[in-house]
Amino acid sequence: MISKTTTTPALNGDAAAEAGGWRISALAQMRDLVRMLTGDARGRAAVAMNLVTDLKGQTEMTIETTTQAANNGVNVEALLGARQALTETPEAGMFKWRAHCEWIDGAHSRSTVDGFFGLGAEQKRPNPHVIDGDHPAEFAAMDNGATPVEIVLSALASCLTAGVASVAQNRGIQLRSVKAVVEGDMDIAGILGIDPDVRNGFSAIRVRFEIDADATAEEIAAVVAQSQKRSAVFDILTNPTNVHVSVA
Amino acid sequence: MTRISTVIIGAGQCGLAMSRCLSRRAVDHIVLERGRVANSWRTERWDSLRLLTPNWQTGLPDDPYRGAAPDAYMSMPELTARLERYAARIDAPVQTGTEVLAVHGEAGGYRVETTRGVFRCANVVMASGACNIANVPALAAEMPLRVRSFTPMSYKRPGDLPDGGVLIVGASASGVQIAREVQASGRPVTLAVGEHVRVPRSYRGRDIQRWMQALGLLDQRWDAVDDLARVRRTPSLQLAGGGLWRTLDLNALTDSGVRIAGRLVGVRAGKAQFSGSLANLCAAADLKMNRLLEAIDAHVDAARLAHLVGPQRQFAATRVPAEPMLDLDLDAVGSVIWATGYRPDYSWLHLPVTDRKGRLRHDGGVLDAPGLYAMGLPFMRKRKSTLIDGAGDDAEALAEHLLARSTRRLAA
Repeated sequence: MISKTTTTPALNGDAAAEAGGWRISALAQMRDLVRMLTGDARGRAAVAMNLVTDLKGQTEMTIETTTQAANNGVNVEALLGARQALTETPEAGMFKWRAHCEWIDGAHSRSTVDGFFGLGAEQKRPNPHVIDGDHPAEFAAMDNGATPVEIVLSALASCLTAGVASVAQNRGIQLRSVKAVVEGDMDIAGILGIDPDVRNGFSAIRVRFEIDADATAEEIAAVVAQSQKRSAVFDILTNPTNVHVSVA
Repeated sequence: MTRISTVIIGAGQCGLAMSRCLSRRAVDHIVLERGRVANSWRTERWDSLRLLTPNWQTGLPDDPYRGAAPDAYMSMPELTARLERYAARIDAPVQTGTEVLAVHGEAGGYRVETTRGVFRCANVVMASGACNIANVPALAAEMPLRVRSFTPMSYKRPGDLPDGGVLIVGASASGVQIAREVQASGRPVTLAVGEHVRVPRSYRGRDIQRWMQALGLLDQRWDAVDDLARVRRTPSLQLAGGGLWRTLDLNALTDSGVRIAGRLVGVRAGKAQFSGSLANLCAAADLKMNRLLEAIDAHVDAARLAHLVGPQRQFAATRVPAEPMLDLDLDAVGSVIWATGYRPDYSWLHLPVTDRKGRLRHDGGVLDAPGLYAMGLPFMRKRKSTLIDGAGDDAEALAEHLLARSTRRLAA
């Protein structure tokens, strides 16, 4: 598959820069964008930028992206477009994600994920998603849902897996199957208040991917590395966050 | 080899109090001291430190505080002099310059090996202190080598620190006091705040320790509290001695320019990382402080003391930045001070009396080894066990236990 994107008249040296700085920044954005989604300029997607000066002294920028036929169900073009749009209007990129949680009984609670704020407006899904949290019988609970810490592990796996699909798509790597096993170590002496030296949370988390794809082991490793680099949940788990809890 | 009924290890307030209590009971004993009397107070504290407890709380058996300043706080030289005078007054059999290297059990008692010979005895009282080792968390190993590392035991004065920022980890008594003077020395301080116990230095015109005594808190017994393990590991009260009745809390430190951050949770890529739970820890400390102040108010009302004491007052909630800092670039930091607690050193104790973490298993200072006793540990027999004037009551009780056991042995 060869896609060819031709932008409208863009660049003409210093004169054009003076006349329309946005064009220069647009070029820079495209370069950043390519770097972001491919991780680097190499990989399977060969990107060529040609600056062609036409007779009027204007420069036409042509981006030729040559990729192998890969379809991981990720709309890379939409993501690319979104990134370009958000670079120009950064305020649209300010999102607020929400979950509404309600206690049901015992350790059982139900979170509903419905609307969120983003792209400058309140957004609403057609159908809300529901996540039940509970504890298993070993904690004398009813097991009506995954434990919250398992939901965190699932969130990490989902985030990294979505990243793998997106990066692979952008690099022209066809995925056949992606499986992840996530394991978190926890000494519950922490949450039970038995030993103050033991933290409540995980002491370590391990993610093991099994990826069957049309790529070398090295290329797959690079995809997984890039998915960690751009993962929100990976960042949430590996860096501190201020958490404000209040009572209405 | 010397044979003696009882060996007391350590000539601080605990060892001397026990010596007095044994002398009164005519129990033959010796006090072994690695250095001089009050050695830890003399050598392992920073220069400006004053006792966190007022002078009226420095009474020892048969020697209550009789000075002219019951509400002042002793400097280390003053305390050292007081303990030396006490040792002389009670004629304590102290052998200085004698470090205990090992204590082994043997038939009929214990074998105490020291740098100056072996003692064989029926009883050993370990009065070697609760603060022999400064705790340093494992993540200290991740700090850049360039950043110099101190503990409240190795830190003496701000001038010894390299120029540049100072990261102080821990906001209990040691951390807040050191933060105050280091910030005042012109070195910008970042204070990593974990769980802490906020109390005002004084309330309604009286030192907080007076109120704690009036409420019966200081004399609360170890066998009368709900969760002994928890109270034993409660951090020290966020107090400073000196500067009569001046409160040293996080707000005072913020006012002086100290930057407060959450608990230190990691060191990565040249940055210290802090927990995002600072607001919660501060809110919890404020709530606990206010509960104590309410209990004091209730006591004042019940005892009809209102006309004798100052008015009720509210203390401002701890001011936490809207978005507390989550990381600190260590390039701007010249030194770190680990004010993260202390623990006793029992490396010389070769008896199966410790738990898996090396802590003594004891019941009010009585160990699961006949004739072996501890002194001066947090909430050992009472809340005041670690205070100077907590040593007397504990020594009385344990001396009585020791004597009863010896008498039983003789009768058998």
